[in-house]
Amino acid sequence: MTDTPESMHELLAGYALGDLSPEEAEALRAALAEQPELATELQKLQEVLAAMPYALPEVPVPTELRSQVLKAAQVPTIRPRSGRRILPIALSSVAAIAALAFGLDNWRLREQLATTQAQVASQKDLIAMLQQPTTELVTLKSTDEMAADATGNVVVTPGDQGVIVALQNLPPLQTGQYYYLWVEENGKKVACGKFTSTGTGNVLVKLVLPTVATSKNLAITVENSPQMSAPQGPMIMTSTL
Amino acid sequence: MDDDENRRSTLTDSELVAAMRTGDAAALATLYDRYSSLVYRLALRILSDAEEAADLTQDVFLALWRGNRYEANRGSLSSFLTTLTRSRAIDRLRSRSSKLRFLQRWSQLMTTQSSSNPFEVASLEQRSEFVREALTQLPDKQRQVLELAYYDGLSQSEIATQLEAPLGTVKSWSRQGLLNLRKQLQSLLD
Repeated sequence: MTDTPESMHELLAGYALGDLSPEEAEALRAALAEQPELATELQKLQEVLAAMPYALPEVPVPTELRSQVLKAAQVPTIRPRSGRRILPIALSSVAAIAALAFGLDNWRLREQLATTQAQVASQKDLIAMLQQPTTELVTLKSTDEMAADATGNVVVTPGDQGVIVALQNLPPLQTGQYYYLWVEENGKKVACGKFTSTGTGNVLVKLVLPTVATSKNLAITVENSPQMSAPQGPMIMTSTL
Repeated sequence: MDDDENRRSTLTDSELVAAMRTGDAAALATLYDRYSSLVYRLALRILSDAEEAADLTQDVFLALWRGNRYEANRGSLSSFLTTLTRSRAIDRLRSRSSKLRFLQRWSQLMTTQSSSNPFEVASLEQRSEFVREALTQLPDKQRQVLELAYYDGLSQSEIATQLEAPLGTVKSWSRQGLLNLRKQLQSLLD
């Protein structure tokens, strides 16, 4: 850190602290493109900031916590049939896109990811549902050009009215349009709920079915009204049973 | 401590993470022994509630166990853990957003005790001493601003309001504070 001007150090510090103005961020991005070695210094500053808690007074950790953590680690997590885990797929792709956009890892990005993780963690019923041994994953496949790259799963627990929809590459809709999830019961499609897609194309929502579904025949349509009782719009994804 | 534990306690963080990803729960136990004190003290500092701090500590180690998001080439495991702990703690703090709890935090900070866990924490203690010493070398304002931003999750403008100082000055204090801290800790990090 000897041959870098002081103003550049200030920018690096501001970046690590997350307080750059848009102009400063642009100046730093340009400098990082020219001098990639600055990224090393940036990482050091992030490490320094993250080392602050070492200075906190030591407090005894509750002794029973160790066995609790190790016991909780033994609870198996659900894996979809493809062998990949469902939540990390959705989250890691968000992070990957963000990392590309920023061009490098940084404290703020990690914070955002951690916040996203915390939001997921806060949905305890969702996590609890994923941990139930009877939980099943229903894979959805695209059936329409409009969402040709869309993939994903719906998590269903027998006897539970809640389902979790986790989809990727779902195109954003126009205002006033909604994606609808339907379950086919006795030859009739019943609405499970509606959702929209964000700019990233990732969807992670929990829907509550009107009744406990016995069927796992699922379909997603695009509808022009927020109050649909039967599908009218194009079917873009269906379950692959 | 049996032979196996002895062997593990000599492994680096990266080696333990690699072992953990093969499903080796004993590696998680070793990492817990190494860093639970750091994670817990940070969680307690931000949340001021022993039960919540324990709950968050569990969350953080389970996230490490189940997730694949830590990458050694992007920084130390220690900074990954403190960054994750801080984010989740501040998130919890915001979600409860109770002024009463906020006040309680300060009174509870006064009653912290010293740990007497002797063996595993030796290097943690050394690092702690080092960072404490480095922070005392900082001008008061720089240290104060860094702590307000880090532990209380306050934005620079919130800090400016609280300290009744111009925003530009607050930014300068925090940036200079971080750069000074980096100089103080240079030998530890380079």
